[in-house]
Amino acid sequence: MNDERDPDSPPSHDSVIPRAQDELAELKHLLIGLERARIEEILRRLDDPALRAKEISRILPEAISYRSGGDGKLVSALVRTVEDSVRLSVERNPLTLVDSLFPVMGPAIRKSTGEFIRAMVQSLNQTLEHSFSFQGLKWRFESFRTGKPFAEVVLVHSLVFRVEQVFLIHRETGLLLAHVTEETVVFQDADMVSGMLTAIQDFVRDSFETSRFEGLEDLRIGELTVLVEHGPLAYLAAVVRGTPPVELRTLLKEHLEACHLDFGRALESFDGNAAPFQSAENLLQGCLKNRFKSPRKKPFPYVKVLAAMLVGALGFWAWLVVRDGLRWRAYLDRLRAEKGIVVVHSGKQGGKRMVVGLRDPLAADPMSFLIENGLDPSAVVGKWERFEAMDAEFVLARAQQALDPPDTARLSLERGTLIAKGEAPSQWAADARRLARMIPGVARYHDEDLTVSYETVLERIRKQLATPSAVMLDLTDGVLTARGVAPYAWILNARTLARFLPGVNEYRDDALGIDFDVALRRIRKELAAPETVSLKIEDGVLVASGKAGHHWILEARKTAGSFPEISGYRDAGVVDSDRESLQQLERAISVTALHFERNSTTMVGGQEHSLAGLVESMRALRQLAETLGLVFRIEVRGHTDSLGLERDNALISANRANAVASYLVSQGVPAASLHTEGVGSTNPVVREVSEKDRAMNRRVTFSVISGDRPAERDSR
Amino acid sequence: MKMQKKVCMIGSFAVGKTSLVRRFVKSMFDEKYLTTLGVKIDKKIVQLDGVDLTLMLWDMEGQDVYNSLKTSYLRGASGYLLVADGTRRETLDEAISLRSQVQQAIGAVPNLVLLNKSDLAQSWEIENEQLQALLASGTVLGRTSAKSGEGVEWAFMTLATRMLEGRSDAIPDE
Repeated sequence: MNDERDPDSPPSHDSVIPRAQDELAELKHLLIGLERARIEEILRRLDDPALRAKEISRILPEAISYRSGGDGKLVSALVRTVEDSVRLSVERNPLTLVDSLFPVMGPAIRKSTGEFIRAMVQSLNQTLEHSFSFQGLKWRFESFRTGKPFAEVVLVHSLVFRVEQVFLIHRETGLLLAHVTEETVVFQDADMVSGMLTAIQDFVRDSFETSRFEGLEDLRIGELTVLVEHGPLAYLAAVVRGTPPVELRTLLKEHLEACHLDFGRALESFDGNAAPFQSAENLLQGCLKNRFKSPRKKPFPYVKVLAAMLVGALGFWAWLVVRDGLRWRAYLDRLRAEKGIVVVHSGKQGGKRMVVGLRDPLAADPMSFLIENGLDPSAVVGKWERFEAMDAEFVLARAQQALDPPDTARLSLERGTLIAKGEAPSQWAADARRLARMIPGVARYHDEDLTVSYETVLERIRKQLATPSAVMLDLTDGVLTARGVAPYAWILNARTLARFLPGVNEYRDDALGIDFDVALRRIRKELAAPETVSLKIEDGVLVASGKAGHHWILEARKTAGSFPEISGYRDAGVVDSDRESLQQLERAISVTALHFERNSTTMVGGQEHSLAGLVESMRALRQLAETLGLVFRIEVRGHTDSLGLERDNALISANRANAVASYLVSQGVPAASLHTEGVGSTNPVVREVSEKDRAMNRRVTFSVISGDRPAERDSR
Repeated sequence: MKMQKKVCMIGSFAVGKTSLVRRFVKSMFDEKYLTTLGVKIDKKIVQLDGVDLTLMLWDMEGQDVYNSLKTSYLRGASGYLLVADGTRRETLDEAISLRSQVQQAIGAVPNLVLLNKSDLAQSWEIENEQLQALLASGTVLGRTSAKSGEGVEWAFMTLATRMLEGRSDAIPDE
C-alpha cells in the first residue's frame, strides 16, 4: 500500500517543475526511492504510539527475560510499580489477591507451624533428656562452675562438630564476598573477621616464607577450629565447633572449587562490590554441616521393666516366704523354751499356721510372742489346753495368787513345801493353812516361822488413818463409822482416805465432833494472840477477851473468818490497849497547867519537868493516834488573874497560849494540831483571895479533842 | 549499592595511624600511646554518592629502619593513607619513601599524605618549601589531628571518593 502511494506524489510535483527536474526526481527515485519509502515507513511506525506499543509488546517478554539474566536493575526498577499494583489491587478488591494466594497460604502456614512444633518438641526432648539425668546434673554443675550458659555446655558435650560459619573471602583484598552462619550462632562482624583472617594468613606467610598459595590450614581457639581452604582467587574459612572430621575438608574443597567455577570471572574482576556473590551464599549453605553424638535412642524398655518388676516381685515374695519360715521356726523354739508352755503339735490348717499345746494360765501369752517375732497374729491359730505346770516358779506364783499374802508375809517354795515367813494377821494365817494344800504343786505347808498378829481389820484401818485416841471407829458390813472428837484436819483427811481402805465401802462421821482444844491451839498460833488475850469456842463461835493492841484486834477480825472449824468470831470482850493509853495520855495532858509571872509570858521557874513531860505526852499521843487512825487537836488555852483590865488580860492570855504553842512546835509537835486561845480571867481555877490564888490562875491549860479520821474511817 | 574497599594506614612509628583510625571509626581519642604490632583491622561504613561503602581499615604497624614495610598486608588495598607526624620532619620524608615502596608493591592506587598532630602547632616542623614541592608533584596533602578531629573525616572521605572514582594517583618518579 505504501508503495502505491509513493508513485502518486511525484506526478503532482511534475506539473510545476521543469522536465530536467523530472529526470532528477526520476533518478532520485531510482536511487533512493526504496530507502525513502522504508524511512517513511519507519517514521510512520515511530510516530504511531498504538503501533509502537503493539510492536514493543511483541518483544517485551523476551526483553524482560533477557534483562533478568543480566543484573538486578530491572527488578529494582519494577519494585515500586509492583508494590503499587499490589496495593491498588488490594484496595480495589482484596478477594482477587486472597483467591490467588489461597492455594499457597495453606501449605505455608502448615510448614511454618510444623517447623515450630518440630523445634519445640526437639527442645523439649533435649531439655527432658538433659535435665533429669545424672549427666544433665553434671552439665548443670559445669555450667554453674564455668559460668557458661547451660545450652552451650550441652552443645559442647553432645556435639561432635558443627560448622557455625563459612566465609568466602577474596584472596587479594581479604574482603568478604559471602558469609553464612548457622541459625543460632551469635557472630562477630564478619567483615572484620575476614580481614583479620587474611591478616593472619599474611603474617604467617611473611614470617615463615611460604609460597603465596599456601597458608594456614587450620586455627584452633578453644572449642573452635577455623578450617581454611585456599583457592587461587578466593578462600573458604569455616568456623567449626567441636572436632571437624576429615571429610569436612573435602567438602570445603568441593565448595571452593564450585565457587571458582561459578564466580571465576567475578572473582577476577572484583572491585569491592560483593553483590554478584550473593548467590554464593546458597552454595555455602551446603557447608553448614553438623553432627551430634547420636543419643542411643532406645524404645522405652517396657518388656524389660515389666520383667524386672516381675523378678523383683518374685524375689520379694520368696524372701517373704523364707523370712516367715525362719520366724515361725524361731517362734516355735521360743515357745518350747518357755516354761509353762508345752508345744504338742505345729503345722498348717486352712492356709494358716497352727500350734497346739498345753499352757499354764500363769505362763506368758504365746500370742504375744507372735508380734515380737514379727509374725502376723491373724495368720496363726493357737490351740492351748490348760494345765498346771509343776515348775517351782509356777507353783509359787500360783500360791501367791491363791493366798494373796499381806505385805508383811513372804512365801517361798522348797521341794514341794510352801513356806510362809514374816508376819500376818491370824485370819490370813488360818486361811493359808487351809488353802495351801489345795494348790497344785504344793505338797506341804510350813508356817512355823510366821508370826501371827491378831490385829483386826479395824485395827489396821485405825493405824492407816493415824486415828487420834478420842476417835472411836466401827466397821459393820463395810460401813466405817467414826465417833468422838478429832482435829478438823484429821476429819477431812479421814474422809478422803477412808474411800481407799480395803473393806470399807462407806464412811460416816456424823457423830464425830471437832476437837476444839486442838482447834484453839492452832487458831491461837495462827492468830499470834498475845498472852493478854484469851480465846474460847462457844457454840462454834470463837470468842476473844482480854486486852490487845489495836493492830492485832483488826488483824484477828480479818483472819478469824478463814478458820474452817469455827462459824463466827466475837471480840467484844477485848479491850483496845492502844485506845486505853490514848485516853490516859489525854488525861495527863489536860491536867497539866503551866504557870506564869504576873503580866508576862514568862513562865514561872521550876516547871521544866512538866514541860518536858507535856512534850513527851504529845509525841506519844501523836503516835497512838496514828496507830488508831485518829486525828486529834490540842486546845492551848491561856489564862490571867483577875487584876487589871479584861481587855489587857485577853491579850496577855492569848500571848501566853501562843508562847507555849511556839515552844511545843519547836519541840516537834505539829503546828496544825495546836489551837491557841486566850480567855483572860474568865475561867479561874480558884477564887482569888490571895496572891497565891492569883498565881494559880496565871496559867496555860490544855485539852485534847480526838476523833476518827473522816476520810479513812472505812478502811480502818 | 554496597561496596567494600581495603585501605591501609602507612607511616613511621608513632605518627598517629591508630589514633586516626580510632578517631574516624569511634570518634574517640586517647593520649595513651599503644604500639601496633603486625596489623589491626577496623571497619567503617560510609555513605558516598548513594553507595554504602565499607572501608576495611588495615592499621599497619609503624615502619622504621628496623621494621620494614610488610608488603603482604598491602595486597588488595584500594587506597592508602600515608601518615606523617607534623612535629617530626623526618616522618614526612619517610612517608614519601614508603609511598614509592607501596607503589612498587601494589601499583598506583589512590593515596593521601597526612600531616598529623596539627594540634601541636608550636612544635610544627614541616617547611613550606617541602609542602610546595609535594603539592607540585600532584600529592594530595592533608593536615589532620586525631586529638581534635581536624581533617580526619575529610581525609578518609577524600580517599573514599578517589577510590570510587578509580583514580590512579600515580606519583612522579623521584
